[in-house]
Amino acid sequence: MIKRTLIHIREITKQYIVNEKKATILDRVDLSIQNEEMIAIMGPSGSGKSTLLFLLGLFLSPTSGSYTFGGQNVLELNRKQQAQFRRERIGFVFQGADMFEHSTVYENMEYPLIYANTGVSERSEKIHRALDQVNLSHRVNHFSNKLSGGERQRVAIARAMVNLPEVILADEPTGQLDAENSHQIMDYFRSISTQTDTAMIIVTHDRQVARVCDRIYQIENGQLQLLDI
Amino acid sequence: MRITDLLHISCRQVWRQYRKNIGVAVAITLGTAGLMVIITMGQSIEKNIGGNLEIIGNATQMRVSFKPLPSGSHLFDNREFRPETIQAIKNIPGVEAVSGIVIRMQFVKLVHQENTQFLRLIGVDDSMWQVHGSSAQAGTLFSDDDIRKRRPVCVLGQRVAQTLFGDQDGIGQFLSINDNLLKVVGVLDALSMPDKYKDLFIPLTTAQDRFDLISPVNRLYLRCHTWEDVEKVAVAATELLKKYQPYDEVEIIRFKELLAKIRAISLGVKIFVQLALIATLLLGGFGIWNIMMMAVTARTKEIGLKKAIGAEDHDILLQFLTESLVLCLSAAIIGFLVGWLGIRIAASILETSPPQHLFWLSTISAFIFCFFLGIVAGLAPAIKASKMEVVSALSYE
Repeated sequence: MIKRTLIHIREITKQYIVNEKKATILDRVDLSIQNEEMIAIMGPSGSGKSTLLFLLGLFLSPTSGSYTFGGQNVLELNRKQQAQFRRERIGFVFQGADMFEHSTVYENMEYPLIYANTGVSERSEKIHRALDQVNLSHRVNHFSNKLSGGERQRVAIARAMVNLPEVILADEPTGQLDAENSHQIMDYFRSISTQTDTAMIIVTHDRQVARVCDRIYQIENGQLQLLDI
Repeated sequence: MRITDLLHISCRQVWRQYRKNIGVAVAITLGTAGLMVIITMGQSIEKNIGGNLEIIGNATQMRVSFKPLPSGSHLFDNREFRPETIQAIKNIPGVEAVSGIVIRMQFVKLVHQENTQFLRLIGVDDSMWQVHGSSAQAGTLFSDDDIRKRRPVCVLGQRVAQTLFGDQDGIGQFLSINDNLLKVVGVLDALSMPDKYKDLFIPLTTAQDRFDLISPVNRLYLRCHTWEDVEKVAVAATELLKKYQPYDEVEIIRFKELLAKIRAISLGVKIFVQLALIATLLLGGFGIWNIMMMAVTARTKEIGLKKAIGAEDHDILLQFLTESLVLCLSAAIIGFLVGWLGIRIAASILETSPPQHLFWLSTISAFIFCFFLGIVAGLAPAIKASKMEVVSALSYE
């Protein structure tokens, strides 16, 4: 695979006003990520890990700095273009493996395709292909509340993958799983990244999980530092 | 987002959450059904209510009689309504029935066992009962056949029957009236002619045959089909009497105040029922608004998740709005079926057939009303949902 830079952020700063005082969560952070690359972001609670992830997903705007995705300045996108960016170029996996209630695995997987206006005839194939990557095709018609924690997280990964994004952003994807399931989930991330050329940015506080990644960053006092593995 | 997906997802959501929606759906169903029944069967119900009120009030009744002769006149009042006059009045559009009566000008002596009474005797034709909406409290009221065959039968006013027979009705007993034996065939109800409960009724022909001092037919009673007919018939009857009996001074007495009061009661009932139904529907709409508002709060995380995977604001707005519409229109469809059944039952009870044009008018009106109810009730929650920010929605607990 030809390596190319997907995400490039430069001097990103994020400040909040708390009790009429400015609190700096991210302070002039720089980060570049290439395709097929897996990076882990670690740090204590409240250090700004999730904030960085939300900035990369365009859920939040930075106070200052620049952010290009595939060479495009994505901070200029309007609300509609941001939604398009999220459904076409990135996928999300959340800590609680949030599923849509009262819905089957198939229906959960179908939402990103519906929002991307994918034809009905193409959906089944895409859903099964994504579920195959996490070995869950046999659970396609099960209701999401009947799945185990590990299975739900695998469905969440497959859902993030279904539109073939360039980057997957995962916020504590193993936070509620035991060691065995955590290990399995990270294996899936690694194999998907290799097979599909997808970059992975994984926020975690678990060093064992982080070790699976190519690079590990630590956020502390708003600064992003590369750790030696 | 495709419209088919939007409808599919919304129907699925409403169906899978039916336990939460059932109360609101029932309110809208009943409101829709009630509105359809009232609009379609309103006229028939009004006529029926009117008919029942008539028994108490006789508001569509009129009395036609001659004006009294000048005081001090020594002339015998032998003025009468001629048969052709009566027939012409019967033919006036809006007239349901006309009855002519005769009265004995002195009380008659009634003897039964050791009981003797002096009563007013009235000879009537068979239309008398129809004009007054009368029914028999016991036995039967005499018929056209009794009148044609001049049978010696009588119907007693309620007080007369009570005085003579106490708790018994006296049907089949014979009474001696001015030395004529008459068989009691019925007792008149107490409501239809409250001023005649102390009188004795016999067929008009029998009265003319068997009794002296019988007046000519100098008093007519009319009954109109509806309240709207009363004024028109009064005007037409006045003109007609001028033509047929130009030398007689006639007065037509109708119960204007009574008519106005009964119309007001009927209108009040109608407005009350319709307002109650509209209130029920609005209550349903408020319920939808409340349910959707709660749903927006309860589904905050779902909204955040959908936006995180690429839903646009208008996707979320349309989804909540469509769910509200689906809920409203589903209830309206069930309401349509219940309403249709209600109309069939009402038509069967009232022995009439439902007017088709009103049925379809009510159906279309109910669906349009429910459509707008769904939009109005769902709009505010839908806007609230669509404006949510992803981060705050995702972190909502």
